[in-house]
Amino acid sequence: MKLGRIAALFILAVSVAACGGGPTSQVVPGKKVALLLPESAPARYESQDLPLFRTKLQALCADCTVLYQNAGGDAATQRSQADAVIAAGANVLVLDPVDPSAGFAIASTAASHHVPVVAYDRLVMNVSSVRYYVGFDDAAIGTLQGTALLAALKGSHPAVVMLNGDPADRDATALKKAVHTVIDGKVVVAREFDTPASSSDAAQAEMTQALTGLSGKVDGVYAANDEMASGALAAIKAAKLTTTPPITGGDSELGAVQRIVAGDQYMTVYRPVRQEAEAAAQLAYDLAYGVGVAPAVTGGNTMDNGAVQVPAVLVQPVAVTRRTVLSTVIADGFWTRAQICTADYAAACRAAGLS
Amino acid sequence: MAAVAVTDASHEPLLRLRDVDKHFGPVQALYHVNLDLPSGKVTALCGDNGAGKTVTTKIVSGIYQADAGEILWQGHPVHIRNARDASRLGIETVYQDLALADNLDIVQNMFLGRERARGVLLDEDSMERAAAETLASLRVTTVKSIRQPVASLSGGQRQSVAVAKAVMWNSKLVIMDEPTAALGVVQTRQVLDLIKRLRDRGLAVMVISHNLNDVFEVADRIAVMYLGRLVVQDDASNFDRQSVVDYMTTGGSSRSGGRARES
Amino acid sequence: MAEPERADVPTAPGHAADLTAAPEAAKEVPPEVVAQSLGEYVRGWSARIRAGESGVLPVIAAMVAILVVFTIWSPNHVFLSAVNLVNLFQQSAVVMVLAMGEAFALVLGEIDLSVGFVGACGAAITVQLVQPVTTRWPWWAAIIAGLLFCAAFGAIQGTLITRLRLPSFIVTLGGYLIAQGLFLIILNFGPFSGFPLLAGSDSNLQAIYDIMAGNIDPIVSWVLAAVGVLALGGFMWWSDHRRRTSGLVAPPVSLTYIKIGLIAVVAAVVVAICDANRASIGVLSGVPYVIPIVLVVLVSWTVLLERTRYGRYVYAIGGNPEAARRAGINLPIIRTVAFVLCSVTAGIAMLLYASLLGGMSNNVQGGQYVLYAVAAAVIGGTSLMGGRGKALHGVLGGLVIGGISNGMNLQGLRFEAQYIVTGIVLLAAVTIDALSRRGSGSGSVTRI
Repeated sequence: MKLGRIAALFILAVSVAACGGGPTSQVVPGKKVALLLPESAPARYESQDLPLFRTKLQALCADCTVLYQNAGGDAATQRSQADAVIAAGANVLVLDPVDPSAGFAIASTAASHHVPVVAYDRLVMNVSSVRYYVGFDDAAIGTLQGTALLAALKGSHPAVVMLNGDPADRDATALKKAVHTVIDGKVVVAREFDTPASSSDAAQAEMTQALTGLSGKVDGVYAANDEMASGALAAIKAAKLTTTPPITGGDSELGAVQRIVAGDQYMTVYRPVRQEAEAAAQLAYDLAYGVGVAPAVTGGNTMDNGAVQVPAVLVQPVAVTRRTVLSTVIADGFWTRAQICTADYAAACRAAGLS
Repeated sequence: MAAVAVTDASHEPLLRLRDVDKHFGPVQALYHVNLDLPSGKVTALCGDNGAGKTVTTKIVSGIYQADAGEILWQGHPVHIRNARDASRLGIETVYQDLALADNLDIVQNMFLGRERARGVLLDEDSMERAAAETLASLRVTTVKSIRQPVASLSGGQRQSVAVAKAVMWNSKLVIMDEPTAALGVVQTRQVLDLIKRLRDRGLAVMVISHNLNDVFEVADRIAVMYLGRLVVQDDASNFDRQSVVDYMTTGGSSRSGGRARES
Repeated sequence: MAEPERADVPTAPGHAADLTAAPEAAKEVPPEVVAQSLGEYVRGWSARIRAGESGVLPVIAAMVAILVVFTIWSPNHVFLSAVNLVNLFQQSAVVMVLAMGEAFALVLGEIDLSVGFVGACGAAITVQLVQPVTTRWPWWAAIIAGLLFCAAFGAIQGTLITRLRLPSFIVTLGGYLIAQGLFLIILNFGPFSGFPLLAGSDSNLQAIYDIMAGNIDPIVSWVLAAVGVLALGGFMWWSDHRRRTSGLVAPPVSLTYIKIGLIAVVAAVVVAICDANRASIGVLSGVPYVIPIVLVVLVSWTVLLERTRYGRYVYAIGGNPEAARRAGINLPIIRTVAFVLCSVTAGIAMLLYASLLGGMSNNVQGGQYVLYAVAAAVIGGTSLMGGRGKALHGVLGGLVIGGISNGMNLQGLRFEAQYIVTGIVLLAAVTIDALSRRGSGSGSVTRI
């Protein structure tokens, strides 16, 4: 009974379609580059990656369009967004996948439509159609942290407390190994903990135990990320040590940058988003216009995604210390002076020469 | 010799309750109820609220079990353990709330639970034809289509459908609980005519009713219950209105008009 | 034909008004059951719409509105391009099938909140079992295993609801949480870090991945469509013919031909769209497997609900459980089986999800999918009060929800806006439904 009515609808649809014409019948003035980002919760995606990417692409070709989509953390939404940008005639997909399965499905679909994919920030696994990967060289972070810590320590065989990340997290385990390679033999690892969920609370409890056990004789603290650094600092403050030992950190969180300015934390790690976003925009432009990519861009680096060796642009993370805050996070606009130098940190900012 | 005559099938009522007792916990609902429901007659069961009418009908239709006494069906003792047993014997009940599904059409309601099928698929055509025949034979002609949902029917039409549903299964005894309670004048007329047509087909009909107008209009026999006892049953011609009221309210009657046999 | 009584129907004291309320007698009867000629049919149909019995008309109107708005609005009218229409169907398929399963619970007047994660468990089991590095089951066995899990889960929920008389809302809310936990456990088996994918050249992985991504050869598509139309058209013609020759009220023969013609046109249009080349470079054409799969579920559940004893009992219980009980229907069995069917259908739906997403991950929005499934069924015309609903409603409602999200994605509109628009459409659907029923002065009534 009702099928008749649906049929009428489809006939209408098709007759309208015949008048409208498909996407291929239109003259495309500039290429379309789709940027698919996974979520909006960490502010960096929309406050850093998107504007940096867009500005770089506009500089390369003024008539190119960026088709930007944010999946809000939902894999199925991202899949639909990818379909939409492909239907809308995207020439290149720059994809930061919500999860490995969405990344796989989207890259496979793009392959069947012959649209090249650049994996952005997270590698798309198990699919051979990924043309490039642009991301940070996370393998270098451990070395960076270990080296920075050694530089901050004085005397022979200083006592170091190590607060590693979540033992269930494979990245944290790799990080721990890399740090040990750098510092073993040069310091005494007096206490070492693997921190469940890499949380600030757990790190604070571990640090308190270490300080008690070592009677406060700690020359340096390795904390795998900024969360744990803040926990370790809280324990140290509570123990009322006369001097705060150097503490490492991870992700250039605002709190960590402020602690560095105030002298409470020795360093954190900055992943230069600008370099990453601009490298991705350059590759997207090259793929859209069929420009050959110079070997120097990847430096011969590749990443194994399970299916192929994907040529990779590995952006080097840099250490942020009190001396380099200005030339790193502030120079790139990752944090502004105003964000860092709140009323509480006004004096410290002046002392550090930030204001 | 008289005893032989009683067991003769032609005189034996279709259904006979003998000394039926029923209690719910400490509450005695029925005391030694003796009730005859002969074929080709409409028997009206009267009584005040709580007199035991509904319990009696539920025992006949298999919803309750009697604690003591026996049920004779065409002279043979039977056990009616559930509604299925009752319908197997040919007993159908038209409930006061009609038990129709509003969202189903007339045919679907009439065949509910007893659908005809060919293989796994329902045989709608055969059911529709049978339903139409049954309604036509009862002269139920006011419905626009037997494929319209029951929700779109008037109260009288719904009652007609419920009755037609009951008689479609070659039933021998139809029990109707307050069949005219919710109806207007015209529709009450239709339903009473329908009841008479059932009787004319030779069915035994038991009507439970508060409405003495309807009772005297349609009943051939009247039985009155009072506080769990069946106090009287006899031909309707042996009652008048006042005597029925007396039996219902006091359990007895002294009026000259009440020539009915007390049990 | 005599005029039905209208004026003299009093409302019984103490009865629900809908038992005998007067306006119902004036209600329009479905035209297909009384009309003898095409003209009569059209008149009957329009009278029925005016009387507030709009059927699936609102959802069809919504679909047309979505089509027109997004076609005009989308860049280069890309909404109506072949590639996007196929995308739209693929994206909507999960919600469509979930909603068809939910129909069993909704028609009974119950609800099943667990479908998203129960289905996800089934799909995760399937995806895990076909992995060539671990269990390497054949694809069909893995699918059966996944669906069996769903059936068992549904049976347990159904038993709790029917035997212990617990409210389905609470039982399936518990089921939702339990299934979510089981789902995360199932994901973590094997060396996949919680992300078993359908990636690789293994033929069993490929079979499941191809449900969404694979296409039937264009020529074969035409042949299958022709066979389907002939079978359905032949059946419709034969059953109308039999009614006509046996003297039952039957629709006019011209109407039968019109319906068959429309079905043929729809099938031809769908195949033509799918067979068009959808890639801007190279070739991508053919009917995706997901379309016949959704059609098979639709036809199976439609036949089950509308043409078998079981379906009839489901509607009867939804309409009046007491009437069903007195008719000798075994309510606990019918209800429990309905929850089993609901869960199994959810298993099929989430298998489509796994295929669409190329694997399973902890990102499955199981709770949101339940809401979309219920919304799709309601938008399509299914009543939350029970007794009214069809498998087709889920498909139509799923297309509306999928269409909104698809069109808004084409515009590059943010996902926040999509939630809001989908919510407004749902509210509009139930409002239209409620108003039209109030206008016609009756409860939930439909010809099923």
